[in-house]
Amino acid sequence: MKRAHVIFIGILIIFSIFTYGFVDTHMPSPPLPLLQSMRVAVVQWVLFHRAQAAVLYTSVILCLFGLYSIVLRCKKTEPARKSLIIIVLLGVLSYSAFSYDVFNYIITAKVAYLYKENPYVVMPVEIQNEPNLSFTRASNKVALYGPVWILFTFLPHTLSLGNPWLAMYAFKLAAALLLAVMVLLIRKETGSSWNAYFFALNPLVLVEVLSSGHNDIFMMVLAIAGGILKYDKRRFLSVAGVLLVIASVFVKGATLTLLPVLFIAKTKDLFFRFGFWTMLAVFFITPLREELYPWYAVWFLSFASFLSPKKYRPLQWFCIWFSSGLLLRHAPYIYTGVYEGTSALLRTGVTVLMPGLYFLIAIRKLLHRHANS
Amino acid sequence: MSGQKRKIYFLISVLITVITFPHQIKASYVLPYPSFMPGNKLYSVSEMIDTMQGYWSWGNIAQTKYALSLSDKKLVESKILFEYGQLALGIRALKVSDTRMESLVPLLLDAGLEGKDIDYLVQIVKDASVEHVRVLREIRNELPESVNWSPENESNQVLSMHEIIDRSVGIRENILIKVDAL
Repeated sequence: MKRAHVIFIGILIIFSIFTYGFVDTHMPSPPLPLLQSMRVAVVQWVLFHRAQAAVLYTSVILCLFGLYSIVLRCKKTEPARKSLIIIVLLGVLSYSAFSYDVFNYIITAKVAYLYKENPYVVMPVEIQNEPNLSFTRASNKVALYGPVWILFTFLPHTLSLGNPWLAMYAFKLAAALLLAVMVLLIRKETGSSWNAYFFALNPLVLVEVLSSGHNDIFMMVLAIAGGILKYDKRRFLSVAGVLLVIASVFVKGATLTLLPVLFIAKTKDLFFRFGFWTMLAVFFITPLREELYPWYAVWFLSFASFLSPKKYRPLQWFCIWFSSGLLLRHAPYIYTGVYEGTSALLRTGVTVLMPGLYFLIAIRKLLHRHANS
Repeated sequence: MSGQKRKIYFLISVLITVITFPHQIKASYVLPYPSFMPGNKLYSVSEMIDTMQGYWSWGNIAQTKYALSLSDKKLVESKILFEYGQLALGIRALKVSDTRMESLVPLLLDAGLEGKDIDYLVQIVKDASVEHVRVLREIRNELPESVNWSPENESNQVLSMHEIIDRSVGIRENILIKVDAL
């Protein structure tokens, strides 16, 4: 088991180095010369060896999921605290390779706190001499997230000291702290390490929360903590719980669908169960608005982590297989360098392939069991 | 086909191509459509929304955009009111437009002092001022020099319409001079 943890960390080191191959050409040099040397070497390799880069990425993800599954299947699942710290550090110090969202968070925080403009009125592109514009996407839009998120970004913005690299690491560190809070909530509520590591070691969570720094973890921490408090017998905590869930709606609107769940579910267990199906449904509706983004899986994975594996093991394993398919969506982009055309078709293919395989295996197991009984 | 006919067809096709070839057109500054007018039940609601938007638009760039959009709105409102002979209401709307226009240069100055590159905003303000002057001159041509205004239950007053419009034009022309110096 210790070997599995060591190999897991080893593969994460490869992944973290690999992410520097996607550093935007307009990003200034990183603060450490070592990172700059790594950037130059890896960028060259990724740009001119796309097929190999895609194969490496796919292999890394499949290995991570394989090891993750081994860790979960083994009864003694606890990685050492040192291992966990290293895993978090590797995630935080990696580059946000598969999403530009963290740069959007950084520039929106600058609009609000440095330039003291209303980010819901002024687009970052309207401050034409803002240096971060050259490596930020969607800068021609007003703030895309709620005021609760904008308020929260004051902390990482302050830590950034105006440097885009420090800003990226600060936002990812904030995501790491929120991940730790979520894991503590899971551990406290379920009393199970298995549930905690189901969430914490899921490669999709490691990539999309720690490496890409998405703010979905903040929304879910507020929603889950709110849900837990709501069912407390003490009235003021119950009210605080509802307010926390409302606050989560003002990060990203997805948890608006949890407000009726809060009142329909009479117990905490029902809240987690209904919450899982609600967030899974919202996840599948999102392509109607834009696209199926892998990091939205954090929504239903958070709830899946609170379900008892004794009753919901098949559902939780489906989540794992589906997570792997979602994370493999980045592979076609690594190979082609674009999101449209063949890349879009390949993305759909890999997303469907992994859960499809899971269903085939599950059906085979069922038939086998039926045949034996 | 004879050589001469071929030449004629060729010349005609060249002529058609030249005439229909896309020409570069510079879109002038566009004022908004008229909103709710005084007398409409929702007019006071729209005024309240305008006031709240003033608080919502914090920051120099946001305030500039707000002031300009309100100035545009009130200019259009005053134009419609003058067309319908609602001179007192038209003057009131024009005064709001003038006040908002006058706030633009200090806002742009502050934004510049804060280190923000606002060249594009300066250009927008220039274009807006030019358009405002054009519209105001149109309004001036339609209005008499002065009007003996007799509102109900109030004393008569002489409204020097041309003077009022000239003052508004003067404000915009002043802005054009000041923004050039920024």
